[in-house]
Amino acid sequence: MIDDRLHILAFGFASPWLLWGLAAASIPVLIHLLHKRQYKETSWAAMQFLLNAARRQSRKLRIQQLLLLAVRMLIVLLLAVALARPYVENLGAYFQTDVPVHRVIILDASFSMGFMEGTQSRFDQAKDIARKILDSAKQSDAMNLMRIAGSAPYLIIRQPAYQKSQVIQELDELELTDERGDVLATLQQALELVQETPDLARKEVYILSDFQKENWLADSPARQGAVRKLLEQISAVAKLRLISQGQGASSNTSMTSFKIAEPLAIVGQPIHFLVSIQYQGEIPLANQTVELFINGRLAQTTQVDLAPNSEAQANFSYTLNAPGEFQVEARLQEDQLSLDDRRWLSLPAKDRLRVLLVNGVTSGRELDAATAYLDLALSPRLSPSDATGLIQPRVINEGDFISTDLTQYDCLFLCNIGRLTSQEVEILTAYVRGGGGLVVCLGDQVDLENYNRTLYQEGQGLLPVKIESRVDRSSDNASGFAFDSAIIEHPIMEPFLGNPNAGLESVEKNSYFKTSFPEDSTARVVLKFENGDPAIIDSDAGQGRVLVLTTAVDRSWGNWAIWPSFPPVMNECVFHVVSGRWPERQKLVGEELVRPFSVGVSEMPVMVFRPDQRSEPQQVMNSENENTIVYSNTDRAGIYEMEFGLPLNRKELFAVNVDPRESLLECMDEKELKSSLFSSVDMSYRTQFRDSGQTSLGPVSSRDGLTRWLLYLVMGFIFVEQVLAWRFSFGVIALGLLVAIGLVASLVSSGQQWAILLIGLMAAGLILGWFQQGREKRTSKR
Amino acid sequence: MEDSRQYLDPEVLNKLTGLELQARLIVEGYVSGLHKSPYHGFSVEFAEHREYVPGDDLRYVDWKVFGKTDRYYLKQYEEETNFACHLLLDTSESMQYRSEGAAVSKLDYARYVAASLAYLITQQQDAVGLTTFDSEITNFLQPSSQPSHLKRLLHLMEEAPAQGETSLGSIFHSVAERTKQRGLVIIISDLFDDLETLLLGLKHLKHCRHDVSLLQVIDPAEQDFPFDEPTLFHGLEISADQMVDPRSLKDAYHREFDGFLKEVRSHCRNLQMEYTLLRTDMPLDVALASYLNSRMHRNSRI
Repeated sequence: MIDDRLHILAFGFASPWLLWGLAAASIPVLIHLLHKRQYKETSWAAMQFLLNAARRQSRKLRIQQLLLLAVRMLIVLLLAVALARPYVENLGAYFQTDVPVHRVIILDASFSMGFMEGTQSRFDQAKDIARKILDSAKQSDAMNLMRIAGSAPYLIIRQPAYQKSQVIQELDELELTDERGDVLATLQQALELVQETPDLARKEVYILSDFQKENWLADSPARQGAVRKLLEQISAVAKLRLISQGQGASSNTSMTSFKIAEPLAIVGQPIHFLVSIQYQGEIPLANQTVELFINGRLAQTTQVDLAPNSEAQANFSYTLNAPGEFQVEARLQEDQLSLDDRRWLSLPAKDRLRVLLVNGVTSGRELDAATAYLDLALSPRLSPSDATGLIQPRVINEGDFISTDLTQYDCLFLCNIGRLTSQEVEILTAYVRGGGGLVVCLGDQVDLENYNRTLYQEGQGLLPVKIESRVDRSSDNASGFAFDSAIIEHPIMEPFLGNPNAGLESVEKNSYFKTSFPEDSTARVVLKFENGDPAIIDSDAGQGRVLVLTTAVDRSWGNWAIWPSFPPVMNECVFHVVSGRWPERQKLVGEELVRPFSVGVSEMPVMVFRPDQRSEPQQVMNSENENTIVYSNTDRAGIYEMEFGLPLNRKELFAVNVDPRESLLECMDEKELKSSLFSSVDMSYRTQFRDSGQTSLGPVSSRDGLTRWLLYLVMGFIFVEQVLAWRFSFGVIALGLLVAIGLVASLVSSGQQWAILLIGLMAAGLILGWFQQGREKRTSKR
Repeated sequence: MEDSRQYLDPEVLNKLTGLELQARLIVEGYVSGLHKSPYHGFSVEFAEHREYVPGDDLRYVDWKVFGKTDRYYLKQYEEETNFACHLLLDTSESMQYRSEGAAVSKLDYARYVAASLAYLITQQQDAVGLTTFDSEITNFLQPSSQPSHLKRLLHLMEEAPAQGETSLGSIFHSVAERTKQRGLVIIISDLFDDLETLLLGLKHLKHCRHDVSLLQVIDPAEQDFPFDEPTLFHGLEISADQMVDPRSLKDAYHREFDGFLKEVRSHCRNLQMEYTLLRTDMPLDVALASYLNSRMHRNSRI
């Protein structure tokens, strides 16, 4: 039974010392009782004097009544306000609320933050500030860490964390990326984050960035509008605090592009490297060194002068001696932002190009083959053993096509093939999409219907154009069809530019096929007939290229095959079609490396070696017609090496470079930010983080707050009200004391000593007033 | 006689019954404190010196003159005229008031004073009459010097009930009309009335060439206002109730009341009327003395 009783009594108080308040509750009762007893009644003769006096006193009485009323109203008001749990910032730790603050810190990790200011990069400075913010957080605060980068993750810490140490650890491990900042994506996630934690009422979002125009006023007005809208939405639930790192002059040299002039790197021929440099700065720089590294060794240096805020170009000329995969690097003189001072190039150098020529016309006589002249044009020789050229053509007949391994060949020519089976088309498609080059040469054998069905496929196939009707030279047309003398600017036609009378205009063709382009065709016309119909059409298909020659490349439809302009055009066609694969080796940070294959390599082991010395194994992805390797973890700039095991047993290099747009370091200051993005958004802008009011004297429990202070005041006022109603002068003294105590308490805790002196004076005045009153009382008694 | 002096204390007097007895005791007590007998002329007015002739009463020798001139001269007084005194006694309800610290109500005290004055006047063979009033005259006795008249007077005083409102001004007008001959009018009241009407009445009396004296009887509490707890005051004549916190009201009340007294006093001075303030805690010989002595001083000045 005793146990039961103990169970019932098993409750307690969090702050038992406050139970003295219960004793205080009896004070009003006491005062009430005393008050009642003092109330007397008497009859009075000198009423008129009393009434007059009372009337004169009424004004004083009214003031007294008003004061009493005011005190009563104040009690109710203070109670209401206290219950609303208010908080006021910057008033001292004593007034900090016990409502936890949700702090979201967004750090700009785009590579422009790598700009060195003195010995510290802007990113490190931002990290220091982030640490300060975390230090100033109280125990009950929730924290999230986010970053502005080019790729996920944007949220470093997914859920609001209460463990400061965990957040600080993540902060320490946060690294600068080589990426361009995607502000929109980060803000979107930030908005989701603040919206999904409504129970944390008070939120602060810190954005530590250099506020680069390039990142923030991104791309298009539509995107900028989207950013602005996100900021508005975020500021509706949280306080935005911007801390800008982009102060101070920032001059920067950066490399914007690094490429070669030729479409292909060919062994034994000089390769021209073109380096584009951009300089943002006021002081002209002279004799800036530019270096060329091939496979890690310094090959050449040159010097360049940079005028303020200008672009310049540095050129190198180098000849490779052996074929293979080369990694080429161009380096500028290092400046405060070093990530954009170098660029890589993955250069597969070839000493020979293997070309497969598929003959559609078998004949006893060699020169009657559709491929005959083409063969000679690509590799001029008197006898087979004389073949020393770059291009190594091999001729097969139509029937042998299926059984040939296409991967060995850099490109294919289909010459006057009559019709193609769907199987053949499949193989071709895989080959082309995998990066191979295809040149389709039409002729008299071509079955229109078949080609349109299998190759064109209503614009979905390999063929970029639909083959319409065949056009023949009419009997009254004396010269046949000639090519248009206006040379189209295209890599294939490059030798003919500014070079008239090279034998192009004098070509006469008897027949060709008319073609039509589908609606949203991206194909280009390379060469036209005089009447405007296309003769050569160029298009991309997957990773490869397709060329269509609407006329024959043998002598059946004209003399072009033996004309002087024939070999250069054919050679250029080869170069152009083959180099289709090459741009895919050069990527930007964040872009995927895609390497498709045409023939069964589904079990092939693949290893990717990254520029930071790590290696990652990859899986070949298999789909119906293709095997592909996709590597998406290109977060660092540099050379990535893909090593293919059996059956290919080969290495290929990929160059990943930083996005040159991020090198534009122009940063927005407060005014620009306000006018562009924050025009309707409240934010506070700083360049440093200052702690607000951490000068508390003594331990402050995290549950203290303005509420508690207000409740104390309410208690005091209730007491004062009782005393006022009982005896007015005492009440005024009590009120004065209460105000004095309140002021002293608040000022002591926020450390302003001068006000304590004032309180002392007030107290002295009160005491004097008391004595004065006492003296008056004594004299009034006769 | 020490015994008789104790009866000058209103508290002690209160224990006795019978106004006649009380009056006698007061007067005797008063008289015993005096050096000179008051019986010889109530209104003694010094007229001139007369040379001494053997056989004159030695009592009237002016020894000061002898001291100066070494000759004997007698003080001669005006012939005592047959003077009539009208006592006006306020019996309104406000006179009922007796505070805690006072032994008797204002009315009782006024009665004592009036009775003793009547006694004195009758002793010196002068005529005394009585008018009791509140808002109007309730009783009127013509002056007479007969001892039996005194008895009647005293009886009337005793019996007069305290009720009704004060309305002094109109009373004075009535009195002025009723009295034919010039005489002494002694008003015994708390004078709690509208000052304007009071003044008009007094002026009327003065116009009738009466010699007017005002004896204002107040309770000590009315002057001191010794209250300090919140009190509900019920008006006696004015039916008003006022709840006050006396401590905050005290100064203002004093201002009002003392101002009133001052005004009355100054008006009396202007009208050349005798004014004496009597508090019900004053011993009666002091009360009488303050009036009579001031009267004597006044007279001798003239």
